[in-house]
Amino acid sequence: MLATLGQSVELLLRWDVYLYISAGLMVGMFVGAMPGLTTILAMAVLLPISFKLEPMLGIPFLIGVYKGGIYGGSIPAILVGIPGTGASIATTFDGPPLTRQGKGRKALEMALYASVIGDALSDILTLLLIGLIARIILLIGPPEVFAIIIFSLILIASVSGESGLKGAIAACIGVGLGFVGTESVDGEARMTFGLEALVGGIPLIPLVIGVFAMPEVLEAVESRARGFINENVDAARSGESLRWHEFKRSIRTILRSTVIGTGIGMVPGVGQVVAAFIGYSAAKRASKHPETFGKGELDGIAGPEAANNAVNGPTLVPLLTLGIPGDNITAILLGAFVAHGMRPGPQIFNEQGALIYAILIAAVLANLLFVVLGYVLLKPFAKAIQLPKAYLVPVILALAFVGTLSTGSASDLGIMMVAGICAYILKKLRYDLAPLIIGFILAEPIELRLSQSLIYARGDIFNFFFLQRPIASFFLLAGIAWIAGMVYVRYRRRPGVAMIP
Amino acid sequence: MTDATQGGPPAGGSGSGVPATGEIDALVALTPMMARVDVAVAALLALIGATLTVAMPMLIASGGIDTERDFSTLSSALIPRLAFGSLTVLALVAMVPAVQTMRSGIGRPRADELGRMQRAGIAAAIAIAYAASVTLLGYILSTMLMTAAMAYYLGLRNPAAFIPTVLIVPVAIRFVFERLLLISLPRSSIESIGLVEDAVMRFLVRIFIP
Amino acid sequence: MRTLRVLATAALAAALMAPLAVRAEYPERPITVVIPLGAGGSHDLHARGITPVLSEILGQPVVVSLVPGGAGMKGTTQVAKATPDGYTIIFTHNAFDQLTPQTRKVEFDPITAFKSIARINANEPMLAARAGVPYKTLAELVDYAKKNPGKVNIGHTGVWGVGFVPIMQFIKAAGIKVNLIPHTGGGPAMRAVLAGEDDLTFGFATQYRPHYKAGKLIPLALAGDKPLKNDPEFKGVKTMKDLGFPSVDFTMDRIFMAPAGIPADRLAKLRKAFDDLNKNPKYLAFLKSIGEKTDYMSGADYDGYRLRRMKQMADLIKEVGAK
Repeated sequence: MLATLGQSVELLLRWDVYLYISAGLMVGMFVGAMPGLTTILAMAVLLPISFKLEPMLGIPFLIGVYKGGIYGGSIPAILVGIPGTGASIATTFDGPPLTRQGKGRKALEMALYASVIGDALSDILTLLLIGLIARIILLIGPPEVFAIIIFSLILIASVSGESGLKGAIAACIGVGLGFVGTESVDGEARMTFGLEALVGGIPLIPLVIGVFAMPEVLEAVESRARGFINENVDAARSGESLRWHEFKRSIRTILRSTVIGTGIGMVPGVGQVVAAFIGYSAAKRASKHPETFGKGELDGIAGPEAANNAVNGPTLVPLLTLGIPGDNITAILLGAFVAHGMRPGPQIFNEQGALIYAILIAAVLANLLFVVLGYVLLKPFAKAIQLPKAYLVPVILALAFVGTLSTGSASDLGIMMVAGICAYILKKLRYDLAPLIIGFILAEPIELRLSQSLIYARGDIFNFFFLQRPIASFFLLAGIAWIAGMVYVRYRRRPGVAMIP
Repeated sequence: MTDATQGGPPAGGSGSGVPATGEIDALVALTPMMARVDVAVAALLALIGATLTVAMPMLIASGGIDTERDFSTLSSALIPRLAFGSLTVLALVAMVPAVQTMRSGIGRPRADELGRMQRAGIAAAIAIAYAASVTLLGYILSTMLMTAAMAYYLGLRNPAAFIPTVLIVPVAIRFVFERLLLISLPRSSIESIGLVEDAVMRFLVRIFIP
Repeated sequence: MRTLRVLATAALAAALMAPLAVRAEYPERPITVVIPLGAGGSHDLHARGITPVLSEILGQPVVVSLVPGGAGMKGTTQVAKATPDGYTIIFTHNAFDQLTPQTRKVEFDPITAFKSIARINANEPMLAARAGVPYKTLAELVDYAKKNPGKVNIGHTGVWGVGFVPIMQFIKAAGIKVNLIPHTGGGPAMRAVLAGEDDLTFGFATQYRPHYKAGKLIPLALAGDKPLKNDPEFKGVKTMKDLGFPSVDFTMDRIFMAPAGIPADRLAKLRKAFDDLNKNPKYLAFLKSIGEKTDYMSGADYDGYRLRRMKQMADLIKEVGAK
């Protein structure tokens, strides 16, 4: 083991590895910052370039793109409320308010540090515990995923307390929309109304772009202000960097979110989006001043950003130990590995241990590089937001259209516009849009996992869940206990409290 | 609704900097116009929810297989029905406070509300026109028109800033995405415009790509 | 007044450039290859190696566009309806081309909507069981399944997908009742087998290799009638035909197609490009590096082949009793 590590370190003592990682990080960050451009697309496009390089350069390059992309998505999320990637949706809660207060740069830096720390810690954990994680992953099957998703939903809902009723309505709409398309178990098409465009389901990216970008653009035009930053904010102070004491306050949140993200990373099909939401909700719950969340709280940036990056470490585990990609991104990495002649799977640590460890360590080091790079690269973005809206709004709209068009047909534009205008109206009526997106994303996995579990159970539900799948039952019972706990607390607090609907 | 005089700061405390509870309610509640829209939307959602819940089996096309459904107990209509059924119930429940707010007239109209709606409406119209024209006119031309309209509307009048922005932004975006990142953007279906686009792209490729 | 002059100049310029553009040869701008599957699958992987070489051969960039969803029909319909000018083609497989359109309402005629450009290779699905099942050969499996109807869990990667059709062919031929578990892709299906949740699945050699070597998988049979002669690990796997199930012959063909209205000369140019691709050393090296082989069939030949296959699939669908 030590010998292999020694060899790995040797492989890492070359400057060009870091050059390629940096290039990847920059491309990834740029792509992530464009709403609608997915990291997957960038990685897929860059795959041929990575083929031409040797594995020690090509694979860290792609990993750099991947990591850069996740952070990149938070840039527009913070500055204009449009998530560049799904994982940054939770960052749109506190990001724009901070920007309007002139603290945009602080928010961007907080996101950077939180992301990097979450990512690095999760990678280190993965490196150290890879065997254990691999075994845990095999234990997590459809019933467990179902139970964990339900538990996560309960957690998230328990925290978005204020607009409870409207939040629940938004969630139902989202879930309903999520079912449009082809069903996974039987292959039947639902609610497509004969529209070809909907047979594949409502595509996520146009929906997210529409739901977030359109209201932001319309609201930006609504207000007479010349720029995005509030006019009473001292121009000299906006663009100020993050101070140590501001960062220190969020260290606990970052660590907590790292644990959450690492855990979520082990559950297939849940992913960064949900991890970010749970990270945010957990931060809000643990905070001594939860009412500041949503109004410009740096902790509300640290929570989701650390969590969504911490998902990265464990998602590599099924890829490396079993040769099974956990999601689209790892599927592309698998392609890269295979094309370089490496066969991820049970043998790979025996056959090419040094190289694999070197790549994993490079992933950790990429984070160090990224702190420096990111810090430098985010300055222009932070400055750009100070431009007048007359320049920024058309550019944002044009880029939003590019994002939608890049993933498919022009019919997606229609979906984006319809979703966007409806979202704008709902937002004005105080409906919370985040539950809508979460409901949408989780609709199919919930139904699929439940169906799969029932098929496995062969009609004997109780026996199957509670006797054969203890992990699943644990999470289901935990969820019920959580609801019970919340109801109890609410009930105790009821007398004398004014409830604002 | 709490009585505005129940404990706490005095009612109508203007000038003290702390709004009275009654004033808070008024500030927080939706404006009268919005309150009406709220009721309408809630009603609409309830209606849609109810229709979909009832009609779900009719909306399911076939094409799948006849799986042996003796073991699994979920039909493909069940969970969507649950979702839309919940929507209907929740929307009906939401109508209650919405109607209350509308009737009680608590909310104060926001300053410049009509102006805001108007501006948002125009922006929405520009965006819709842009979406409709992209396939017809091609990305470059339609983005130029949108940029021109939007920037002008938002106050950019100085030709020295206006013209370069309108011309450069769409071309630059298309170039970066189509040639560098290999993402295809729509080309105009009107041939002559499409050919101009191709020509411009080829020209830039020759300059920038070795 | 100035605006008018600017517009006039622009119009004049466009008019002057138009004939120039028309005279250029096909292809004179990038060609889009639609893949009706998600990122990271074997098609995506193949495409990443094919497109650079093809771009060289044709002289214009060949750009991949992933359009997953709708059981492959979203991307397929998009190409079927695209302008047939040779700038939009599809890289798909035979299940999406010959089978799925017959199981649902689609907005194109599956038989006449496409013309084949080429088949680049084919993969034969292999039936494999997890280590620890109470049967070691195909015959023992059939026996066990007959004695325990509905107890054997077979995982597939989607209804009417490439991992599903051979299962259907097999259970019809063997007359057994099994528990069909849907998964959202090859990866999850594999995980389920390794975790012991599924007993069997139909997959491909490249996927199975590391797990077979680790002793976690038992290959039982290969669909079709051609054993994998050159495969170091799997050359001994018996074919379905040898084991008495000749009807289990579904293989996955990877094919390039173009919308039917494409001008004949452009189709010929594309077909020739693929002929050249198949001889290109860089392409062949790439295939080797991802553990695949070439199994080329020209477009003209494949046009006839696919019609035969379509009829076969239509019969299968009727047997399985799709609504």
